[in-house]
Amino acid sequence: MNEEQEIKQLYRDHLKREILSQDLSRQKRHFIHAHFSEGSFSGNPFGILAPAFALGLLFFVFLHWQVRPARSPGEVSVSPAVSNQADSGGDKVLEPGTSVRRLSSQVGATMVYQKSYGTVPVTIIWVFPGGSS
Amino acid sequence: MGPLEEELIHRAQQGDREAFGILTDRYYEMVYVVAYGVLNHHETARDVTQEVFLTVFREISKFEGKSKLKTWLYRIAVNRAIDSQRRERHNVSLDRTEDDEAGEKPSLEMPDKSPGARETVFQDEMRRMIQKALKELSPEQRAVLTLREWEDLSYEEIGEALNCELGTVMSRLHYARKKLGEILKSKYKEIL
Repeated sequence: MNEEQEIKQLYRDHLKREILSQDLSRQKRHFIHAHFSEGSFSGNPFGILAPAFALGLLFFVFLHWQVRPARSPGEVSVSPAVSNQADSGGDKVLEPGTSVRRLSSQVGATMVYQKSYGTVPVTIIWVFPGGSS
Repeated sequence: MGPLEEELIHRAQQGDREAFGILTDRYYEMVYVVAYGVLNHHETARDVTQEVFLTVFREISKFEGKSKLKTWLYRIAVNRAIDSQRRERHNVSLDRTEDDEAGEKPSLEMPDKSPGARETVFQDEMRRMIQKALKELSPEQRAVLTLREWEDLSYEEIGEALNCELGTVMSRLHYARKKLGEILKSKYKEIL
């Protein structure tokens, strides 16, 4: 074997040892699976963005429920029969746009309705321990 | 370029990732060896190899079939590996790897003198010497050495792959062989 062939053999043996020291098959399989298989992330732009879409959808639903206009008291299934009774207390104004009246219920011991304070809907539940008037 | 490969390339050009996956499966090791031959570093060779296939898939529509796919892969692999090597020179890593330690001096521990152990020590020493010799070559010289001595390409094929003149190929190969030969001859005789 001449020197050129010796160098070639030495170099080939060296590369062979180096390549065999790595698990190239596994490396290759992993890479192909990640990028060039049917369900690979990089092959499916929707796939990689799916979590972002899901989060966006949840956020949208949350926003929708938050800004949904409050139902007026007249939309409750049972219209409250409420009478305003003036008493010594009279009307008390707690804050601008909001007033509380002393009420008695003619529909039962419990009355439920919604009232909006600005854009925030508030569900109000009245319980009359003494029952209806 | 056989008909099956032509069909796979055509399908890949239409966006068929699985078809390109088959091509990747066929050529992965080849590209890895070329990248490693230039870089002499396994982790970087892996990164460059994968980068090559991602690039080729992205650019596959530009492949006109005038040369073999293999030639195109060689060219991209060598260019990417050389670029990576240049970037590495500017970013010196503080993390030492097994590849870095390959060129280090052997430990000062008393060697086991049994035949199997002596063979192992010899192999380790040879590996260190070869790594040291290869480090003294330029990436371009290592590229030519790998394509010639491992891939058995002709000078013309190497010239086509690397887009350089025949004279340049022969000159780089001559220098690489000479460098390797000088270092190996002197150390080889020391061991013997």
